[in-house]
Order: sequence, then C-alpha cells, then structure tokens
Amino acid sequence: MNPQPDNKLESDLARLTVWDGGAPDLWRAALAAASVAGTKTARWFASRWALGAFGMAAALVVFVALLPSLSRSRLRTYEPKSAAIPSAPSLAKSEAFLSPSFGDANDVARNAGGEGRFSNDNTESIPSHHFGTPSTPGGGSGAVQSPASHATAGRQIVHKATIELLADDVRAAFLKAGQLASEAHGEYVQDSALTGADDKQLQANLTLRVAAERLSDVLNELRQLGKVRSERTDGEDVTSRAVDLDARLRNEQRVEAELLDLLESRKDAALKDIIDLRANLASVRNVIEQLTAQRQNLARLVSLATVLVIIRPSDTPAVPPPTGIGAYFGDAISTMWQKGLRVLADTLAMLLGALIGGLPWWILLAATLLLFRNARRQSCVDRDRRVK
Amino acid sequence: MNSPRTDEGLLADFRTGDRGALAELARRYERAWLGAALGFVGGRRELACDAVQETWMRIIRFADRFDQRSRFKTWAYRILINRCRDLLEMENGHVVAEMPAAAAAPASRAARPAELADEHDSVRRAVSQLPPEQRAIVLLCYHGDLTHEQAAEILELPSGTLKSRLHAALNELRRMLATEFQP
Repeated sequence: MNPQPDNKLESDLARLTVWDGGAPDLWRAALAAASVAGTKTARWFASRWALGAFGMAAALVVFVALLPSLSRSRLRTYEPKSAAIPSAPSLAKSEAFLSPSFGDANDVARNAGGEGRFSNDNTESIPSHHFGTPSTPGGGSGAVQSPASHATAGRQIVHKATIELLADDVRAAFLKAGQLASEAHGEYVQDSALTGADDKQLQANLTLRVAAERLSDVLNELRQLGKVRSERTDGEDVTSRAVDLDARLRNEQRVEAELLDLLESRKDAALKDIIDLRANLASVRNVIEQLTAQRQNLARLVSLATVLVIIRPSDTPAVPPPTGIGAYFGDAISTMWQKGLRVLADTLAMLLGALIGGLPWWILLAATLLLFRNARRQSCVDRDRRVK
Repeated sequence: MNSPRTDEGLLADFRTGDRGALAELARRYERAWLGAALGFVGGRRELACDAVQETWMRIIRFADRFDQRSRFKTWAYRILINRCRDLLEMENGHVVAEMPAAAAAPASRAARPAELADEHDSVRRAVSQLPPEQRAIVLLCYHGDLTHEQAAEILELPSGTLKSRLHAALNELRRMLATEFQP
C-alpha cells in the first residue's frame, strides 16, 4: 500500500472529527445534572454562610468576653497622671487604704496589707457626701453630718472618709492627725507616710481607723489642722452580707450538731463510716471557722471607720493655666495628639487581644475551612468518577 | 425579517431562564462538538459524549461568568478541549496511543471495506502519536465547524504560527504514515 496523497490525508483528517450519528441531546442531561449540582452548591454555600455566621458569632463572643478585661487594662494603663498634685479622690482610688470585703477569711490580710480598693460588690452604696474646696478659707467650720447618724438600728454600715488638707506645717499636722486615733476606743493608724525632699514638697498620707460613732468628731478635729481642700465620705451597707453570714453560720452549726449527734449515736458503726463522718465534721468545722472570721471581720469594718488623710503644704504652687492663643493652640494639638496615640494603642490592644484571646476560635475556623475545602475537592473527584 | 440570534444572545437568554436558547445552541453546536471530541479522545464515542455533556454542564454552570471578551464558540471549544484532556488523563493517562483502533471504531464502520477502515485507523493512530499541541492543531484545523482563524483563537496562537505548526504536523503525519505503509 502506498503512502496516502495529500488530499486523501486531508479528507481522512477531516473525517476524524465528524460525528456520524444523531445528536443525543446531551444538553438536556447536562441541564438536569447541573440543576442537581446547583442545589448541592447552594447547600454548600448555605453551609458556608452558616459557618461564616457561626465564626462571626464566635468572634463576637470572644470580643465581648475580652472587652471588660481590655477596659480594665486601659484604665490601668492610661489612668491620667496629673502633673500637678493629685486630688484626694483620685488618690483615694489609686492608693489603697481599705480593701473590699469579699466575705472570706482573707479580708483581714487584705486590709492589713492595703492592697485592695473600695468595692461595692454585694453591698448597697449609701449616698456619699462630697465636698469640694470649702468657701471658708479657714476651713474646719463646715458642719458635716455624721455618717454614723445615717446608720439606723440594725443596719450594718462600713464608713469611709477622705479629707485633703493644706497646712502651713505639714509635719506638725501629720503628727497631730496621727494622735487623733484613740487607742482607748480600739482605734489605730493603719498606715502613715511622710514624703518629700523639702518642706515645700512634703506630703503626708495617713489611714486612720476610728470608731464609727467618732468619725464626725475626728473629721471635725482634722479640719482644724489646716485648710480643707476636699472632703468625701462614703458608706457601704453590708447588712445583707452580715445577715447572710449569720444565716450560713447558724446552718453550719446545726449541721455540726447533727453530725456530732450522729457520731455519738453510731459508735458501733463500721470504722470506715466513722472516719467518713469525722471527715465531714472537720469540713463543716472548717467552714464554720471561715464564716466566723468573716463575720468578725465584717463587724470590725463596721465598728471602725476608715479615714484617709492627705496633708500638703498650703503654699503648693498651682499649675498655671496656659495663656495666649499660641499656648492654647499648642495645648490643643498636644491633647489631640495624646488622644490619637491612646486610640491607636487601644485599637492595637483590642486587636491583639482578639487575636490572642480568640486563637482557639481562629484555629477551629481554619480547621473547619480546611475540612470544607478537602470535602469539596473530594466531591469534585467523586463527581468526575461518576461521570466517567 | 428577524435576524438569527447570536450565540452570545442565546447564552444571555439562557441566563434569564430561557431553556429554548440552550436548545438552539445545542442544535447549532452539539454534533460539531461531538465530532471534535471524537477526534480528541481517539474515536471513543462514549468518552466523546461524556466530554460534550460535561462541556454543557460547565457552560450552564459558568454562563454567568462568560464575559464576552471572546466569542461563545471559542469559549465553548476551549472548554470542550479541556474536558477531553481531563477525561483522557482520568483514563489512565494518554491511552489514545495504546487503544486498539478496531475497538474504538464505531459500529457503523464495521460494514466498511476492511482496507478503508484500516487506512482511516492508521491516520487516527498517527494523529494520536503527535505531540498534544500539534494534535490539537491538526484536529481543529480539519474540523469542519472551524476556520483556521477560529482554531488559532481557540488555541490562543497567532494565525501564522498556527499555519506553520500545522504544516509541520502534516509533514510529521506524512512521515509516520509513509513509515507505516512502507512495504
């Protein structure tokens, strides 16, 4: 057989791509298959949307969970640091002089160490009496209603007061203030500090624990020591906590009595039962001791008011306000710059917090997406196999 | 007198839910695609049908993504060629060269004279032994539904390049056939 001539080759080539049958209307089958696949795709997209919604919800939960801690962090980090002398209320917030009572045995330790701050947890706040700079230069004549007078019969109130004084002789005022705590009444100076390089920089801080019924008298005496710059008194009603502690204590004591009775009546019981009973008894007694300590501590807090005294030299120079439009403009720019930096830091802290705090969620999300991707690939392969 | 609707217009109508538009496209192209697919898959009719059906499925699925930068015909042929390649790869690689030509021959050809069928299968076998690019050029250029310009557009080649490569492919085919029919 001879090689094919060109026209023969071309005609053979043309015949290679000729369909010599009828059209099998494959488009109909494809249309039906595509509609099924479209439904599957819609389901897949729906599941993806659901997954996205789930991810968003998870991120939102993480964000909401992190927000309080971030806010606390921001407060700690960006608490305004006044260039001038801090005011008494801000010092009262930053300087611990009374720990919150958490109703546990550590209250005493916390108060002694002075590491806590005021807290209204589980307490009702009594309306406070906040006095700004008195109009009378001499101070001391302002009649302050005794916080103790607010305590009605049967109510348990923890009193706190803060007074900021300007004195000509800080050292003398400091010594006099310390002497106001009467040991005869069980009062004492919880802590005291005199700081400053020279007389103009001196500052005295004292935390006095005085009998609640004497708080008014002590404050009046403190006012005599100098010019009152600010004064604040607060009260926390801890009656409900005291009632709760009493009830729990009575209950535990009843349980203790029952266990003792049981132990007495079952002397012939198995050794294991007796050991178990004794273990339970020890546990109950431990709780009783804790509750008793808490109750005593609460009673001590109620009986002794806390007074934070801050004494500064009366000739402390005030921070002069900026004068002139240039200074005003510069101050405004500086303030805005500081605000911008804080917003930037806040944003970064929030993003970092969400990134770190939500790490388990991100990992979960990535793993889920990976699984979906693999499942999709597998389904494509399966479909191709079915078609084949 | 109404001018016939363009392919792109039909596809747009299908996107809006007109199934008749798809039927019209099928009437225009399905047999041509089956022929082209038959050439690309080495004469196996079932595989050609699979390729065309999957081409339809992709056209249906991705009709929304057709951006009209190319013509529908070019776009569809590209899909068809890719599907043929995929199906061949799924069939344990390039089985065209290994496939017995007689097994691939349609039943209607069984009635042909043995010599003619043998010559025809020799050409198919020779084409299947060409490099993939040359094989695509040869099949598309001798496919009755396409011009050389359209083939060049489908393969994304300049027209001159296509012609020179076609020339080289034909020479190669002639050489292979001459070797085969050498006494």
